Amino acid sequence: MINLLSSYLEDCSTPQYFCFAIRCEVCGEFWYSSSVPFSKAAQAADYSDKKELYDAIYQREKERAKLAAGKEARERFSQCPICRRLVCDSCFLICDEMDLCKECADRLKEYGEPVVP
Amino acid sequence: MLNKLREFRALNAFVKKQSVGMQRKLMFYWVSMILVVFMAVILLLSIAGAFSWDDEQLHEVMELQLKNTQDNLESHLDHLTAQSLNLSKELSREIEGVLVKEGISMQEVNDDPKRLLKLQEVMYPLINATLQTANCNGAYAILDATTNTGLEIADHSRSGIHLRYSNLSASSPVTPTVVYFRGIPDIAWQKDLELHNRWNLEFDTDQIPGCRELMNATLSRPAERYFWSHRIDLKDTWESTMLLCVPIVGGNGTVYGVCGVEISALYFQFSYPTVEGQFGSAVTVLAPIQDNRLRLADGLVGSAKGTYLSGKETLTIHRGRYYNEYDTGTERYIGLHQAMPISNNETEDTVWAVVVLIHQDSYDAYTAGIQKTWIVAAMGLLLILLALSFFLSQRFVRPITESLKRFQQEEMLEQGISSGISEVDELAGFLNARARNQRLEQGELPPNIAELFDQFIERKGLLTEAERNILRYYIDGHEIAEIPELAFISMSTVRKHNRNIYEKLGVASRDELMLYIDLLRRCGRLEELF
Repeated sequence: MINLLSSYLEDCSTPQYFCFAIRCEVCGEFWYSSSVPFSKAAQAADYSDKKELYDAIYQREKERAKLAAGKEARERFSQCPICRRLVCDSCFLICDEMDLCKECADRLKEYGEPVVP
Repeated sequence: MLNKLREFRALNAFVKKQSVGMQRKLMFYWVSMILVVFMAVILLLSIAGAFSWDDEQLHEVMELQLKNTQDNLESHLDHLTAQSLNLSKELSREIEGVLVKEGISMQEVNDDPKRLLKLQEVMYPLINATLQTANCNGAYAILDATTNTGLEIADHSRSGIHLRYSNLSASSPVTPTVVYFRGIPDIAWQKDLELHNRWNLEFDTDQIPGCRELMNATLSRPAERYFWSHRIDLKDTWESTMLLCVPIVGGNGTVYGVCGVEISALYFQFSYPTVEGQFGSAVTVLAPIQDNRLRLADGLVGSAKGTYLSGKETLTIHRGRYYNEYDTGTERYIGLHQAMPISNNETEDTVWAVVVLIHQDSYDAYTAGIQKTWIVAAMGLLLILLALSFFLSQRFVRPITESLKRFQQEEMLEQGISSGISEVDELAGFLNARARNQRLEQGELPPNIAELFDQFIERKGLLTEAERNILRYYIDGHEIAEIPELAFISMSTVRKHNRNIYEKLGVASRDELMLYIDLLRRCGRLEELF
């Protein structure tokens, strides 16, 4: 699941902060991960002669932030077992037979309750 | 001091460490709250003036009474003054008529009983008419002449007529008898009047302060100089009286004598009875104030029923916010006074005033009664509040203490006994579950294990397919954190499924669920879950 989510994460980072987003494929709403500041943002701006060093640090911290964002997204996103789309908790229904996304549940006439009302 | 403070802090810390009963603690909070509210109410009442209400009310009552009394007294004295001035004018005309007819002056009337008799004969009807019409108990006229200038007392003995009411009483004040107190007795015989038992032929002018000076003055009209004498004792009697002295002024400015009316102490008592009120008996006083002292001996005192006033005291005045205090030295009175000029030549150091007095004891008795009522009401209210706090704290704590007793006796709430307090029931449920788990973990199987298994397996039918899918992960030994990876669902979805599974299977936690699964596995009944 983490791997799946990581592949869906869109990079919204800036030189100062790391941030990732996932778009719900049913409602189209974006979810943004918690912003993580780049620990060397100030030094990277001041010392351009060490750009390569700070770029390496930036990439390393970004990978960590991406992993954290994936874990954070794991709390909120599910994959519909029918259409295989990634959907948010508001669009994912707990049904009797199988948990489905809202659109599939409508199509298959399955009643369900959203995970997050 | 510092050591004592330290000791007190140590004691306070020790007390805080002590275990105190819930009811006692709750009772303490209630009592603290009640006392704070009680103090606030008392403070508000005192700020609002509830406790000085009696003084304010007394002030209003006395002020009203003083005003009424002053109005009455002023009206009374004004009427007497007007009637006396009228008497003076008429006497002047009659006396002048006789003197002109006889062709003599007033000095020539001395040592002449016949002419004095003639003068008094013309004076009598006027004096008698004044007595009958005025609100007083006596009327008089003194001529500046005497029957015998050869006597030792001739310089202060003057001829005249003084008529008085003799049998004054409170029960029949309107039918008094006129007696002849001073004057030539021939007139009394002519008019069939009774002589007073202390009758005298002439007046002793030394008994009336200011009388001689008034006779010796030269005036243009009577209203130019008249006065009320201080209270004087009537010679040879037990009575005392105040005399209004108005000069009888002749045409050439000569003063022929003095005339006027009298108000005796007894008459004043009948005219101004005590006024009974809620604060006590109020006494009316008309007296001079000199050097901040009220001199009752020089003035008149109304009926003093219900007080200890003899009418001869000198009262020291202490002014107050709501009322003044009048101190005799042995007795204290409270009241109000208002200056009231009664003569047209009063000196500045002596001011006549009308006073309303109430004995301090009667007012104290009244306020003590009110205070007692306040105290009893406050104590009653406090007791009721304390009893209420005891009752409420006991009622609040009772279900908790009873539940604790049941815990001690291991009568669990799952047996259907509810405390009525949801938090206590939840705690009991939690303790029950933990105790059960502990027993199970220790390998101790509950006696009704078969029944519990049956119930558990029976409840399995309540689970949906999606929930069964999650349950399978648990049976396979997976942790909660692994399920999102395996089922491709969010952690929130897993948690929601968990809640439903626990509720439907009747377990309180995942540990309990896993215990059931483990036991079923050990009993070989796990397959029944699928």
